[in-house]
Amino acid sequence: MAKSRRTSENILYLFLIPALVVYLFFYVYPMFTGLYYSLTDWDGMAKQKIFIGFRNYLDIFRDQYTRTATMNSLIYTVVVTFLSNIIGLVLALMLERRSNINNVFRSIFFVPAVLSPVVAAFIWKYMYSPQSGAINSLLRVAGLEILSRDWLGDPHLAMASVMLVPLWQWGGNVMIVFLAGLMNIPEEHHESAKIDGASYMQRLVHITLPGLRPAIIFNLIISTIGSFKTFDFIFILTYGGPGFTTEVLTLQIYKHALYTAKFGYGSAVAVMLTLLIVLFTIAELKLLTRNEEGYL
Amino acid sequence: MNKGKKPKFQLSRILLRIALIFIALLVLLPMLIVLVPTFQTVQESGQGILRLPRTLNLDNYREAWRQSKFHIALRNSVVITGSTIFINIMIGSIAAFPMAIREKNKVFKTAFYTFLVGLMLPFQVIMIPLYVLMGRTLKLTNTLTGTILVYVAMTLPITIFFFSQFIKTIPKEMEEASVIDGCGYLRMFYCIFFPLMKPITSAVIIQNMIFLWNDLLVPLIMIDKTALKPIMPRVYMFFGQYYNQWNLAFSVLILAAIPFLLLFLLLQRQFIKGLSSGAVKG
Repeated sequence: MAKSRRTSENILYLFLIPALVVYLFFYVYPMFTGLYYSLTDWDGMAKQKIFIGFRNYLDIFRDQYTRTATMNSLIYTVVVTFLSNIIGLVLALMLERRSNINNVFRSIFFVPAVLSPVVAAFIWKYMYSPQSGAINSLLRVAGLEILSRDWLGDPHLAMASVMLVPLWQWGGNVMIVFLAGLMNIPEEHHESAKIDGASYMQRLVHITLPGLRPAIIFNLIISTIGSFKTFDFIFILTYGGPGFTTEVLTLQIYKHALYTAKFGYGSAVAVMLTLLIVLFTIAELKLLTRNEEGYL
Repeated sequence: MNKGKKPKFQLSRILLRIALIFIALLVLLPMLIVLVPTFQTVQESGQGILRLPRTLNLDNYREAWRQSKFHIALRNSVVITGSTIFINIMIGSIAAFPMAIREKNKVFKTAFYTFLVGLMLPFQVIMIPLYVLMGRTLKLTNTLTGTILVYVAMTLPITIFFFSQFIKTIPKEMEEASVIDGCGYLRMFYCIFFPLMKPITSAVIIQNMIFLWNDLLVPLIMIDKTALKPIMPRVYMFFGQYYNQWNLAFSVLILAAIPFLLLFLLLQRQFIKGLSSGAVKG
């Protein structure tokens, strides 16, 4: 009896195998080879990969292009994460009350999130296009032609123009998470605060925002990881240009893999990107779960 | 007390409504504007986007479908998305099962954390090695099989995370009762647990579907044969070739967006639930 119990228990290990094999072979194994490549000078062609230790990592700091790309990735991530959360929060607060009309608004704000980033990027490429683009055409009709710009071609504007696209696309998605978070705050808390004469702002600061903490943590972390990983928007809108003003790390890694064939150096940049993501995620968790236990 | 407040309350509600309508227009406008060139004739499109088309003719769509061989891209996308999701659910759900019901077992615990790592890593860190592994060692670039395998590996972490979190909420008594009934673990999983997992399964499917259908990067490095490209890379390529013919380029773009927009309208609640689930469990 005991023995048959044991054998049937062992079948649980078998359940794991298909998933584990695929994952180890096509994900974990490449991850470790990537780490190894990053310590070599491999150009993707040569039969031999010469081990050069951490030289690629030191080169990252000397390479002006990678430095620019790192700065751009940081700016993009911080700005997009911050603004998309503000936008999502404000929208959620505006639509907190349950009503049919609010449901319609919720759906409208969420629609862009269903589109592919590829589709979103091309829509905005058209909006921004200098001659026939929608923004400049509308400005012309409104008699505000002086305001028209080469939105993606002007080095001072390109980054800001690019960053608007994720805000447009994901703002509604952030809102949905905040709305779900708002539903978790017991109505009684608001009721009793109202009876005590608390104003809307007081209730927002003392009840709503603390109650939204798990949603805030989730949104911040998801936006941070997503923004560091961003690729499609910039690939389509500017390909890193004009000059290097919108070049980000993900695009650089892609270029090193497919065009410059600097596999070793590109892998080092990829490892650095991973470290940045892990660092930011941990920092956000530490900052927001201070004095708290059990979140996440 | 309420009476005195009412007019002010109404006013703020009207202002709120106006603000919401304004934001909704800002959100919708870019999507509506790109519809204009798709209905314009070539002469009309020369006059810019403010020249609204007279009729809703579908010639551009027909032409764009034909020139981009859209049906081939559509087939590739359906095959890739469908197979990936099927394999992913099959092997992911059953792998999550022991991890969830034997949380303290060291092997299952280690496996679980190994999968979790994949949740955080950017694809770029495995991009170059994958390009080498698939292209040179296994010769699986330019095959749908290779692309599907990469996608299965990429989507497993989130699938396993969602499934195991969900299975943990199923009462332990379920397992004990079926053990007494002499039920093996395989039957226990398929007859008892799997049917209970329907809501989370649909959330997982929707999440993965959005990612798979919309992704550009993986096919970009895995496939360069036009005949094997799924929709998004095909759209990207078509745009490059037809950049000066907005009416055709945007027709393809709309064709690519439509399946998902329709699905969203039909399954709105599941979509929104699927995307926000796991978010606010705290």
